[in-house]
Amino acid sequence: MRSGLHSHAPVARRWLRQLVSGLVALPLSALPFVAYVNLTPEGRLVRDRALVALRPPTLPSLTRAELVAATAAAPQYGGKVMALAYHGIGSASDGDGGFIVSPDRFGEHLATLRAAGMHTVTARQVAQAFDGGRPLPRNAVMISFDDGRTDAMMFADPLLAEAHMAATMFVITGAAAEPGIYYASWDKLEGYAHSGRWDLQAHTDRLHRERKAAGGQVLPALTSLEPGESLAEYRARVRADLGRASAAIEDHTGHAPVAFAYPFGAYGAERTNDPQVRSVLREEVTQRYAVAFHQDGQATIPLAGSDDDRLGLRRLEVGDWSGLQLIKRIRAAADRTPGLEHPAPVTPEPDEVDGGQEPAGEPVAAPDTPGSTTSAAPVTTPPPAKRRAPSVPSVTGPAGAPPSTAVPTTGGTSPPSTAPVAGGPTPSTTLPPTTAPPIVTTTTTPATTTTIPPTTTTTDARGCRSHGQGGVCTPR
Amino acid sequence: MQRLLRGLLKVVVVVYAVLVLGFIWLTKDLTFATLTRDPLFAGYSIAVVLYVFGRFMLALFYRSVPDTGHRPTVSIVIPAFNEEDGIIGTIASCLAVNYPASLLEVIAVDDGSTDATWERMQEARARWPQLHVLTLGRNYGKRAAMAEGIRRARGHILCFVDSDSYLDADALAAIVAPFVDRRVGAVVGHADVRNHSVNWMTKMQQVRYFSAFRVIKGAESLLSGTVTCASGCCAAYRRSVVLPLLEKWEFQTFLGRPATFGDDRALTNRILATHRVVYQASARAETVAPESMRVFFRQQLRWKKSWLRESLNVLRYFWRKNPVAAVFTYASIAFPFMAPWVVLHAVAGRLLGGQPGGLWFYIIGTYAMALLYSLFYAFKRHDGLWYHGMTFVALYMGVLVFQTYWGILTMRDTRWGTRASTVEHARVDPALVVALTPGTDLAVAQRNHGERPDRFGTPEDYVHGRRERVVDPVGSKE
Repeated sequence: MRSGLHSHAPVARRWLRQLVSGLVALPLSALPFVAYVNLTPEGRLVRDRALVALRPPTLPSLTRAELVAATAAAPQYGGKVMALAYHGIGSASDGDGGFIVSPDRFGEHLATLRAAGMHTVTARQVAQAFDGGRPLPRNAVMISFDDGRTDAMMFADPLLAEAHMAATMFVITGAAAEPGIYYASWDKLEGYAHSGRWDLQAHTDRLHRERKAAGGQVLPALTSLEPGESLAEYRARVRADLGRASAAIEDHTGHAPVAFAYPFGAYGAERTNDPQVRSVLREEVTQRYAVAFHQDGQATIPLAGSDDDRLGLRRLEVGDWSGLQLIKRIRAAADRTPGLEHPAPVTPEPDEVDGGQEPAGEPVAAPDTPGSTTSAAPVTTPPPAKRRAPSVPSVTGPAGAPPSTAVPTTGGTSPPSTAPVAGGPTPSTTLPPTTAPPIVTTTTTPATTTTIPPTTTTTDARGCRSHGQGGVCTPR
Repeated sequence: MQRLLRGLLKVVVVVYAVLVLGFIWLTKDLTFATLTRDPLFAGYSIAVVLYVFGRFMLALFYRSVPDTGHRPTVSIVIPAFNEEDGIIGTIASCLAVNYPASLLEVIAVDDGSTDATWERMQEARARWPQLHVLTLGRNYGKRAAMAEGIRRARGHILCFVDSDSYLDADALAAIVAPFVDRRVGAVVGHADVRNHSVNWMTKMQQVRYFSAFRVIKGAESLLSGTVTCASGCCAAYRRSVVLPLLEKWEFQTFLGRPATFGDDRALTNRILATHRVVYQASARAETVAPESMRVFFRQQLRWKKSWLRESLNVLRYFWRKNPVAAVFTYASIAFPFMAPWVVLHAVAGRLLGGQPGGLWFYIIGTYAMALLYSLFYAFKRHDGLWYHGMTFVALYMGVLVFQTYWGILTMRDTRWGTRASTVEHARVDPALVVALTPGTDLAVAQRNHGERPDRFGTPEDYVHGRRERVVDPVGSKE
């Protein structure tokens, strides 16, 4: 017991033993940190944050072969939009089964989209174009994210900035108001919105959750009745929630949302406990939003157009694909879209959608792009202001740029999400939740709207268009 | 070669610590983001991190008071109860210190032991005639034994050494150095665990002692001398400060019960109200730590109870002390009350599905703190024990945090736990005391028993029974 410091035991050997055990313990003591940053979602977030800080993601430079392949596979279309849905961006799977795309992949996607002459638009631009506002650019692609996740924005933002592209974030406003580990706070979101690269749209306030619904099934809160809940109560609940979501987004960005993404992609067709829910939900969504997106039928997603059901637009869920695979998916979507204004000039090869080989090749030399601020990877990031003739199938620039150069595509200089509404009416003319038509008048409409007409019911009792143009009420 | 290795080790430790700090820095956004959702959890995390860093930062600037040759008269008091195995060693280590023998007095007090402690003391007295040993005749409790020793002591500085503590040879010269400053009422030395190589429990306690002394007491000492506990294993007091407090301290009651344990904290607390209490790292002592879980938990509970009791007093006057020290001290009182709830909150949050990341975040945050403490040890000591610091934190977080409330619930149970001591207050009966002062023999002592020597020292203090005028450099300044 008293053998401690004054013991005459072989001191040197004990000293050595303790030194060795101490040195072995040194690396072992780091294991909990390694486990934390690899095995827990928030730990991965911490690690990703460090990665972004140490090495901000940059767009890759594509090889000549990749450029040629992307250009050759690129579809050509106008007046329509390819809606893409991303979930998380990170360096590992998030473990809840959601698609997760690595930052490198996402950068590759942006670079390839750029090289293939695709132009990003935001959900607000889509809504405006469908409502007869500024037309969409050629080969329009809407990049969208759900939930307002920190990881997605952390990685995607620098890449979008480098590519001079914009994306849409469907924000769960309730989560942004009480940010935790996964969700970005309003502070962050406002900053992103201000950058002009992010269009913040609605994804419910607090209904982005699944719980035990009436009937005992676990169902999305937005598309199912609570136990004991009447349809009228359901309507009031949804209306209040969407109202809060819209108000929050308008509060923080200055623009009421015009687009909506259904949480879990559920809009009442399935995953509901009452067949009436779908039409009620549809009416409530109609009150506030010009366009709404879900992710049904991934295998057959077409391009979205203004004559589609605007409250049932379909987004392609992007997986861990190569840039070329993404282009081929978009091509396939364009090919299965009926009535394209400008059919693709290249023969469709739908079978190649997933089997695209990426031929390796030497990187393309930097083309002569005066005025370009990004000389490091000029191929992938041509200056957005520089337009080329649509007939130039060049690998050095965005082939197939829109013929009408007056149409602003997603450009660094003019934030698309802010420009159109800036000159719009004052917020007092927007339709607040309280001025929504009384339940009595709207409950009579399902009979006419349940059959999903090509043009959805967008007028209320006063003849006001209840969505679009930042919620402007324009009597017809 | 060895120097190179140590240098390399220090570099590795520093780099590692910086990485851990970087990790904590990265998690700060997550913590701040959680602030609105979970104010208790996030607020606690932030406060604890600031608290620990503050302590570390201060401790980095801590330096011992240099020995300037200040040599006041010192009385070492050794209270002992049933310590037949260790008492001779303790006495020997006290007598072996490098201190002028003419200025040193060693008083061993047997608190009515039922074993052969008193016999051992007499043997020691036979070996070292300058020793002053006495038995109280029956068991009164540690405080009574200490108080009786204090009354008989004639040195200007009182030094208490537990019967399971051992002073380093140079400890006494070092521990009296801060008393040059008249504002200093007490000094606590640095205690290492003597039996640290026995098992993981004692290794763990060695690392714990080191950080508790070097970081916590070091930081407190730097803040105008506000060490809240001059641990009994190695502490020195200015006798003139202690004497007026003696009566109240010896018969302290709490909730109508005698305050039996936490004598060191209680005395420190009373001195701190008017004087400074500083930590002197160069005064090294060793103490024997519990080797079994049962004894360890009992000791911890005892400390916790005395901490609870004395914290009530600290709350009342500490705001008048150094403001930074006050903030630290009040925080250190608040944290143990919050900690169990935070632990339960983190675990319950996980189980109830509230904040799924909360538990892991809490665990990794705690681990990071534990690692920093351990790395601090690794930086200062190169004995390969550093990683046991994390064992202590694990044990603390898993079990010891709950002792705060357990201590409150069992506050009135003042049994010692480790020794079967009586707990009722009683004034020491002079008729039962047998004292062997220097220069007396047992026969004389037993004949004279009942006659106590003059209770309090006069300026003409007696040292070692020889009439010798002792000049205290401090006293002479008055």
